[in-house]
Amino acid sequence: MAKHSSLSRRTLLKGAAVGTAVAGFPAILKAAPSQLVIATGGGKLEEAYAKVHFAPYSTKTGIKIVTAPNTNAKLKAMVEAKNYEWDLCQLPAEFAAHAAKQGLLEPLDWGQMDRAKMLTGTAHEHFVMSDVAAYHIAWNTKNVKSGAPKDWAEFWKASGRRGLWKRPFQTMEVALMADGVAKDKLYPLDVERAFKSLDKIKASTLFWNTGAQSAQILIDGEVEVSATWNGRVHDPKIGGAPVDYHFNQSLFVSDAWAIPKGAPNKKEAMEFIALAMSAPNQAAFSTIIPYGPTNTAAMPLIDPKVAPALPSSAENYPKGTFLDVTYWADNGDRVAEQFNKWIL
Amino acid sequence: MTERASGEAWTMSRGYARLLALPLLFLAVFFAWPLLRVIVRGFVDPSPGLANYIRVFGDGPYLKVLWNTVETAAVVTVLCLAIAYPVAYVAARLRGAWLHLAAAAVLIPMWTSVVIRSYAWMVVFQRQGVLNDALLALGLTDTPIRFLPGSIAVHVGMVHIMLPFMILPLIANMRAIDRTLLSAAAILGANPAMAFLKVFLPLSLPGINAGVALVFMTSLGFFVTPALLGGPRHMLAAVLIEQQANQLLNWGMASALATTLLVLTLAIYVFYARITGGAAGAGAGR
Amino acid sequence: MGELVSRLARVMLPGLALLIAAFLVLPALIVVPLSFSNQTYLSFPPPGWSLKWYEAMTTDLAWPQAAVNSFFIGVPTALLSSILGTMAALAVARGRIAWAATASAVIVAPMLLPHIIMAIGLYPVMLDLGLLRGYLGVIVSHTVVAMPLVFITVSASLRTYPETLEMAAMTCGASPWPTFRYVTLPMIRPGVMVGAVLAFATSFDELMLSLFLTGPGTRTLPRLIWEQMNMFLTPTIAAVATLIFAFSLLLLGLVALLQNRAGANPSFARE
Repeated sequence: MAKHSSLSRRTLLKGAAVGTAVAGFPAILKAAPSQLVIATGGGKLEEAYAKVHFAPYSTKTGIKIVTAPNTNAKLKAMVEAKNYEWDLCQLPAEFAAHAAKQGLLEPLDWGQMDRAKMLTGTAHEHFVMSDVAAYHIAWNTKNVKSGAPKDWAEFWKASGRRGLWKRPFQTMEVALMADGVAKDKLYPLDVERAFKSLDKIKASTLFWNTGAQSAQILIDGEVEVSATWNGRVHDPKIGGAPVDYHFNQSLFVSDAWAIPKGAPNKKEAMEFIALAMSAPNQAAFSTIIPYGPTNTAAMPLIDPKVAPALPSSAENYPKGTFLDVTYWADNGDRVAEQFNKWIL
Repeated sequence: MTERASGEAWTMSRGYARLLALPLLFLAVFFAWPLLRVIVRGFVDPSPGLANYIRVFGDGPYLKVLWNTVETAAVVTVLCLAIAYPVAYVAARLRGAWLHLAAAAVLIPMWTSVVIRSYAWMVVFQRQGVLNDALLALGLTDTPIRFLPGSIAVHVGMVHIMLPFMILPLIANMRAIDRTLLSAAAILGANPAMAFLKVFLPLSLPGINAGVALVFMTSLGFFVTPALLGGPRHMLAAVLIEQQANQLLNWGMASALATTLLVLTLAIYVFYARITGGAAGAGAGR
Repeated sequence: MGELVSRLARVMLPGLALLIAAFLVLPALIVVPLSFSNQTYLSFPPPGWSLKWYEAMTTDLAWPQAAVNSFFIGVPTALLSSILGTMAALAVARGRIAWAATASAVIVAPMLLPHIIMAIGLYPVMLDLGLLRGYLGVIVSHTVVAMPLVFITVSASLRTYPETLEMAAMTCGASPWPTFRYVTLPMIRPGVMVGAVLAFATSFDELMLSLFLTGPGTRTLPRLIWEQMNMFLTPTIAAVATLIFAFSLLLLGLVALLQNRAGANPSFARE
């Protein structure tokens, strides 16, 4: 005990010395970083971020932005090692909730954002959801000429083959809706009931692994109908691919902005997030990528021609329901194990 | 083995033995140390004890997936060997332009991303894909065959990726085999099949062992191909481990799974080395 | 009867080999047309043709940069793995080490570990050593997984001839380096070269370690392809694959030409 206190006193003294030294050069202490490292999923999302968020931020602050891939496990490694490669990150919201629960994220400064304007369930202490995507029903227009499934119950009964994600998130919710559970009564999930519902279609379902694959099997006609995300089929549909979709009973999912716990440039990172969540930036993003804004102030700024493609538009938003990320943060491990066992 | 070791041989082998220092040091820092940290996690994360291992060996999906992984790797290895052996036998005799052409056919696929190749196989195997079109046109089937997802697609995709890993060691080995030995055997009265079985095959064993070791072990870590071409039955260990490590941040569990796979495979490797008298350089016996 | 079998084999075998060569290049035959598709999605055969995916690639500097990165990582990986793998193979095959079986199991172990696990273990180590800024961290990690390939192929080569060859050279007074250079190396060259090629290919297509250990400026082709495919599957990736094909064909042709001119032995050394 005595040893411990003497050690901490020494550390304290050292710290004080450093503090005095630094105090002599306040400019150094306050100097902004010359660059900010942002982890993203890459691809077209990153291209959109670059145009909408990175360029204005750099012009405003003079801070250069570089990107890194947002490999989830890296966040944990970084925080454990207290050695940071990222200043902030874009993560799938259900993962952000999980990371927050494990204590890997810094609390956000909500003073810089208008929490009241956020869609219900999108503002959290440690992360903010950035855009609304939909996991919804889609079909191949060559194979399904008429009578495309209007809801998940019809999707379950559709003839031919159907596609679903080979993961429990979203697939379990959809299975419950197919079995008649109302969209606002999904949580906590009735896991047994969901598996019973999935049992009915297991033999005629192709369980796909990646979003790109879900679009591919739909367009190729490998399946008649499939669940997929609107961002996957939006461009192909416009490009003339034989695919169509609707938002009825869709499950809304999102990405989120977050700051790794203890990351050194929190102030700048927070300024970036505030900018990215501002109404004009959210609106500009949704014009490029068909994912709707979570900041309701952004919706009026969006071209009415673009709005029908966005899951969070006034017309589409009431048709679906948001994935409960907190449920998955608490139960993901257990349900994933059951799901893997079920699917084998 | 050691009885004919002269003084020079002893010095020489000691000199060779020293060469091991640098590779082992490299592996100690960049493999053993990180691995040890991960293995320890399997016993302490989230709480100290054997909880993770109890889960692995419990009635969850884990043992089944490990078994699927080993089984798939074994099937792919056998298929690769069966296909690669005759190819290497022919290719090892080629000279000049033909040799370059053969090398090109083997090497070119290797530069294409496994991800892209797996998508190419999806295009081949899908319901309205190249293969079904051909089968329908030839009248071999009336309705499109469902290949996706399925064992055929997974095995074809994986064999395609692993084949060069089998062919190249075999060619390297077979080119070193003196084919006049086969003629000698023929002169001594052996028929060609006999000459092949008794002379060529044993001499090509080092190549076979190298290829089998490469293909089997690499196949155990497959991720993309079974995920894209395989059904639920083809969920392999790498997918499960990635899920635990990267999606669920359950590093203790990911570590327990990886450690179990590692131990299992090393056991298979040592067993194989024993029965073949030293696979892939294992064991000092020649 | 034996005559018949051998004659049949003589006709059948090359035919079979050709068939398998066709199997090996088949995905290429699909990927190349896809890259000239006029669609924004992968559809085969493409309903129409265009060069827009090549244009898209040339305007995006990320692709050439990633290709350069992949080579700057792959070539040193192949070299480093060849040196370390050959050393290890020589030691195990010729060193008369009592625990040779254990040693070789340790050396091949990196092949068995899922890359995500290795990445999780290596990432903090590399962070501590400060190796994440440049190429070094990812080269080292790729060498860990590629070295066993060289070890296995070189070990196989070492087992095709007796060590008495080297012993004879040494007895005649040759010192270790010339013995290696003029006796051992010519014998094991095919194994070393095959191992180096496999090591390069492994690094060139490695995703998981690259995701963890490359930074913004060092991202590799597989990482870029993965990032692109995360969102949308467009023929751009087919265009990338086609260019890599063309490049490797060019490279192979160049090697063949150089070898013919130099009159040297072709790639698989011993005639």
